[in-house]
Parts: sequence; C-alpha cells; structure tokens
Amino acid sequence: MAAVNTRSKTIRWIIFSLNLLVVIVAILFYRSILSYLLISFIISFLIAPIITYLERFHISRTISILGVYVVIGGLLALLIIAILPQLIQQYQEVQDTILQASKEGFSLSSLGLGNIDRFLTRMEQNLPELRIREQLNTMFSIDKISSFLNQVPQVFKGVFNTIAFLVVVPVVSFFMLKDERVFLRSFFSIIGNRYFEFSIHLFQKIEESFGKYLRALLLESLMVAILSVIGLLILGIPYALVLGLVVGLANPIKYLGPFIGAVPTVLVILFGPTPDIYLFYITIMYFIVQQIDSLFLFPWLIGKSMDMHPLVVILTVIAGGYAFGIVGMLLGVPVVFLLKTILEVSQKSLKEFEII
Amino acid sequence: MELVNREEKELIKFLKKVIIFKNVSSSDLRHISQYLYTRHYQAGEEVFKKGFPNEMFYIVKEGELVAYLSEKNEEIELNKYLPGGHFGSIGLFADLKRTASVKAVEDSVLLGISKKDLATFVRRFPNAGIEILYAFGKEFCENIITLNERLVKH
Repeated sequence: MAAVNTRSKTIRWIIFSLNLLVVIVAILFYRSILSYLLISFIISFLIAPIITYLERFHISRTISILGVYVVIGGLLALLIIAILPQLIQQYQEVQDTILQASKEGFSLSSLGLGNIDRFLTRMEQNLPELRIREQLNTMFSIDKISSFLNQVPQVFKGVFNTIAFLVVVPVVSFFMLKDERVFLRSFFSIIGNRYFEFSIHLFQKIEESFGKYLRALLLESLMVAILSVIGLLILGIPYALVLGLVVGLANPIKYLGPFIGAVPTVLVILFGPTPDIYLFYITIMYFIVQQIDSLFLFPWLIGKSMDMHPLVVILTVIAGGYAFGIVGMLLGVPVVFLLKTILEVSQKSLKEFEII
Repeated sequence: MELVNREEKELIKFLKKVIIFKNVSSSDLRHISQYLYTRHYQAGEEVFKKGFPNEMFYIVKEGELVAYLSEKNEEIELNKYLPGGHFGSIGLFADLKRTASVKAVEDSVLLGISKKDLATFVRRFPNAGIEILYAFGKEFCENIITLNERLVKH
C-alpha cells in the first residue's frame, strides 16, 4: 500500500513538473505578445461591466461587444481627426520650448530666479568643493531632458503605429469578453476539489475590491484631467489639452501626482510667452482641482474601497519611483493593494476552509 | 463545435428537470449554464465540512451524496442527495457558515454555482430570477411542513 502511495506521489510530481514545463515553454513562446495580452486583459476588464449590464436587456454578448467597439471606435476616430494633430503639435511645441531654453544654458536667471543665482555664485566662491552648479547642470542636462521628452512619443509611436497591436488587441479582448465565463470555468476546472471553494472565494473577493478600485481610479483620473483642461482653458494657458492630460495621467500617483503633473504647466509658463504671474493663478487653479478631487471625487469613487495607511501609500510611491521610475510610481500602489488584498483574504479564508 | 452544442443541449435538458429551474425558459437556462462549474467527486470525498464559509450552491448531476453531522466519532446522517437534488441552499439566503458536512457516497458529478454569481444572475434576468426564488420559497415551506409533521409524531 505504501509502495503504491509513493509511486502515485512520484507520478503526481512528474505530471506537475511536466505541466510547469508546458507553462514555461508557453510563456517563452508567447512572450513577444504577452504585453498585448496584458493590454487586452485590462481593456476587457474595463469594458466587462458594460457588457454584463447590457445582457440584462437580453442583448447577446457578441452584439453588445461589437456595439461598444463601434462606440469606442467612433470616439477614437473623432479624437484622431479632431485632437491628435493638435496634440502632436502642442507636444512638439512644449518640447521645443523646453529644449530651446535648456540649450541656451539652463541657468537659474533664465528661470527668473536671479536671487537664487546670486546666492549660488556666493556659495560657490565660499565652498568651491561642493561644485553645486556642476551638479545642477548635470541634473538638468540637455541629454537627460531631451531623452526623457523623446521617450514619451516613442511609447506612443511604438504602441499605436504597430499594425499588429491594432489587430491583435481588439480581437483578443473580443474573445476575452465574449467567452469570459468559458475561460473562468476552464481555469477553475484545473483546481482540485480541496481548494475549489477557497479559490472561488479568493477570486470573487479580489474582483470585488481590486476591480472596483481600479475602475474608480481610472474614472477619477479622467475627471481630474477634464477639470484641469477646463481650468487651463479658462486661464488661457497655451497647450491646455496636453497639459491637462498630463495632470490626469499623473493623478493616480498618490500625494506626489499633483505636483508631478503640474511640472509641465510650470515649465510652459516659465519658458513661454505667458506672464510669470500665471504661476500664481495655476497654483490656485490646481489647488482647487485637487480639493475637488480629494473632497468629492476620491471619497465618492474610491472612498473606503482602498484601505491602506497613508504612510504605506507614500512609501510605496517613493519605492516604486526608485525601482521602476514613473511607471513604478503609477503601478506601485495598485500592485501593493492587490497583493495586500490577496494576502488578507487568503490568510482569513485559508483557515476557514481548514487548508492551514 | 458540434460536440460543445450537444453537451450544452444535454445539460439544459438536465437542468429543466431540476426542481429549482422548473419554470425557467430554455434561453435563460442557457445563460445560467454559463455560471455552472462541473465538479467530479470520488466516493468518500468531502465536498465541504460544517463551519466552512458558504460559497457555492450545488446541484447533483450524477451519483449520491449525504449530509451529516459528526458528533463523538459518530456520524449522524441528515439527508441524502440524488441526481436532480441540490444542497447548500441555506447559505444562499442566510449569512451562516455551512450547517452540515457533505460527502460523496458514490462517484458523483456536481454542478456548482457561487452565491455571488446566482445573485448576479437573479438581478440580471429578473424573470428567471423570480421563478428560481419562488421555487426555493416553495421548497422551504414544504420542508417546514414536513418538520412540523415529524414534530407532531414524536
């Protein structure tokens, strides 16, 4: 009996290792399109509630997905026709303005901060070993700024110009949306009976808290972007559209986001034709937008669904920034929140299901 | 594709015979079949124990299962479930842990739907949902009557 048991255990291990091998080979084989799959997954994850809602009116999933595609396609077409040329032009102008200024020598006096410049000169005379100016110059070196500025459109080019992307992502999202239940059922069918109810429980809890959080975060950022664009338009700041979008993009970064998002606006005012007094106005404007966000939008949309201590949030943002730059700052908090949810739920329910 | 259709047709034919889905239309049954997880249990295997969280509701497709309570190394059998029968319905309505343990007596096939998915389905397809909820209500009433009769006998 014991011999049979060890043998079946060995067989089970062999089968498990083979399965693992298949998974690894599959990941290696499909690695070039993994990012497409990830984007498709995020898109279908965001669209899913609409499709599910439409199902209530006995509209088949296929038709409602195609309907949503037509609407999104129409909006994208409008966006491309109406906004994109302007956006590209605005972006290039912002880039040119900043590059021009940095080529002319990124001295502090050009920023209209002559006092600090004089202070630095004095510091240099007294403490030459600090080499403050040199350090400042490397901080703001043209190479760094231009490489950073070039990266942004490169990403867009890389993503949007690939025909494969345009074909693969909608098709994959379509099937993910249409056969959502089929994928879920086949996923859970490989889980053993002992862990089945537990895994369903875990999945639903994650979908409940993390899914809600992610959708709310996107909606919140979109609204902040719209508010910022409106504010910038009212103040008559040039490049309102692109500057407002940057504020929206930076918004998911907790605490630091508003400051990071405002940097391009500040630069545009400093280097552009806008009088410097507008720095004061946009500070007030962004302050109002942030107050609307933190007093109304955040409590209304996200509220208690994300219960992480502010200290943990800020440390995560900083650590994410150190490890993976802006992307790390953006994704750090959601990823840590996801892990926290998984750990919390499993710790509680692993005991309840008597697995540990 | 043909095979999938045949399997689906067979499943819907089975669901029509399940008392909970008696008055639900075929098209709604096709929708609910999307939420059903098919699980296989060997004879003697436990589905869940008393005290587990209430996550799933099960319909017996094949085999035989029993609900029981363990007390002082003794197993008190409460109920037997045969094909077409179901268990786990208390958890759908009351916020309780599992009130008894269930294990398979023979090799069994179960169709499971999660508490949350059933609630979603009822809201999404109210017509079918009303029929399902009425069927549950009717069954609970019948259970109360049976229990009362047993009480009078004792």
